[in-house]
Amino acid sequence: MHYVRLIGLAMLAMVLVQASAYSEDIEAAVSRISALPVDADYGEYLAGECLTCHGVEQSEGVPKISGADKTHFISELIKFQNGTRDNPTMSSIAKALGEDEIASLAEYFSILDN
Amino acid sequence: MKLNRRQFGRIVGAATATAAVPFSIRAQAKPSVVVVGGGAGGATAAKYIARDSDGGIDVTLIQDTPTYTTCFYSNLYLGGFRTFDSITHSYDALANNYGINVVNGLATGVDREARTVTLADGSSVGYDRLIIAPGIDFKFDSVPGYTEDDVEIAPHAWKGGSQTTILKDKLDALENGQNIVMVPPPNPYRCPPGPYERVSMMAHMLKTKGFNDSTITILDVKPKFSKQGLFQAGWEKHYPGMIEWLPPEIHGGIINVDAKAGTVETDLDTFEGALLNIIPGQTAGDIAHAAGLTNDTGFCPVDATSMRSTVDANIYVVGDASIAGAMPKSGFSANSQAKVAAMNARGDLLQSKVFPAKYSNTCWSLIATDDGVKVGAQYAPEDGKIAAVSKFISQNGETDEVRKTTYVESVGWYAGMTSDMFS
Repeated sequence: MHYVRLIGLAMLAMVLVQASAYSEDIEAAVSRISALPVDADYGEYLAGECLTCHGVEQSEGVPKISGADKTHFISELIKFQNGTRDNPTMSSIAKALGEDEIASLAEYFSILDN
Repeated sequence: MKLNRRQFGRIVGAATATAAVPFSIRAQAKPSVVVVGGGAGGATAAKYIARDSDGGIDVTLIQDTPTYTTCFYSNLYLGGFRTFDSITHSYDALANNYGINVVNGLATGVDREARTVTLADGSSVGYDRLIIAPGIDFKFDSVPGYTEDDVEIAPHAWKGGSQTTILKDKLDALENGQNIVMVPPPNPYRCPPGPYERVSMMAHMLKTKGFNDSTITILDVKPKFSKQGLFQAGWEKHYPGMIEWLPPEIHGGIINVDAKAGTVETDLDTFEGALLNIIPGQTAGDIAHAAGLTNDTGFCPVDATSMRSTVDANIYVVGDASIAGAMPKSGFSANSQAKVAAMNARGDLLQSKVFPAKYSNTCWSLIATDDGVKVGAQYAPEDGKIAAVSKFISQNGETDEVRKTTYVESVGWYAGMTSDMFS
């Protein structure tokens, strides 16, 4: 019984450490990407892919991302990349984006109101 | 401070204005782009060039219908999930908001030497860059016995508009016990999962009416099809015994379609349908052939990095008419390709920045109420072709909640996509 409890505690600790590591990874990545130089023209071009679904109006099933907070925008794309958030379409899109592209997109959408 | 799209454009424009130089010393007037075809590719290209050049380029959009009924989501109209009006869109915003010269006419020819497009009424429009987005036309001789004269009796409904309503009317007129026979097209064709979503939506209508004695037979000319496992599992779940898919190794080949008699003769048997939905093989829209932009495949070769025609550097081809590597022929693909072409055409004429091409596509399909599935990918040029760099597909065994979420996502996509094209 004691042995089983120890294993259980060890597994819980591993999960907590893993979750913490994930969270630290995301925070570190957000900081790194936020500090990258951005190209507004590039962000505007890349945004074309997003706007096919994420229209300027809020619509059912696809959230509006115009005006999104930059940090939140970056962290959500990282979560789609690493599987923390689960949506096959968004994961595929996020995995095809480099950090410089995410930075420029975040900048573009953060200053776009509609 | 938040900016709207136009304010953002002006700031970006001011920052890059020093790099911009006039299109050519020869041309004192504004450079011009003509776009032929007002669907997912053409409407998007026209809008993005006009919007992003902020008045620096004259844009003319030539479309042969005054409004546009999308082929995508037309199956949901058949299934009773959408109205016809909800899939029909106006060009007014493109004219009013972006200053696009929308010409309601049929483009019949291109003089590539003189850089002019000729219309059916004899008028012509000059261009510095031309974007061809005519979608598909049909190879009627690909289906033995089926001719262009049969399209009102046995509609293909593979272009949005009057064909869509003809098919819907025939579907709604069926009585219990009357059957449907579909002949899907050979590869390559517009919207690979489309015929099978259509079958799902027609079955949904039959089931909703309690027509348990009616059947749908698919006499396919292909040994396999897009999302096959997902569709077949869905048919078994929602419409058991109603749908029969017969590949060519079973029926042995289409021998003759008699639209008036309502029969399709194969090696195996002759199938009777009160409703025949015959979808012929496809080729690039007529204007692409008239302009000499096609190769022996019947479609247009393009540079994977720009969608520029490999035949004529002043012309871009986007959407179904292009040979776009691994990308399927879909409205989403056309919309994505149009943005790459628009950026490159603008770069040609205004020396604005041109970035590496990236493309994407997702095809959603509805199998039954709240049972949506999807397939898609991201793409980039690789070794001269457009290749997939990441991809995904729905899985059998997904929960009802996931399937409903997928359907609702497609509703949001349709709203976003049509807004991207027309608003």
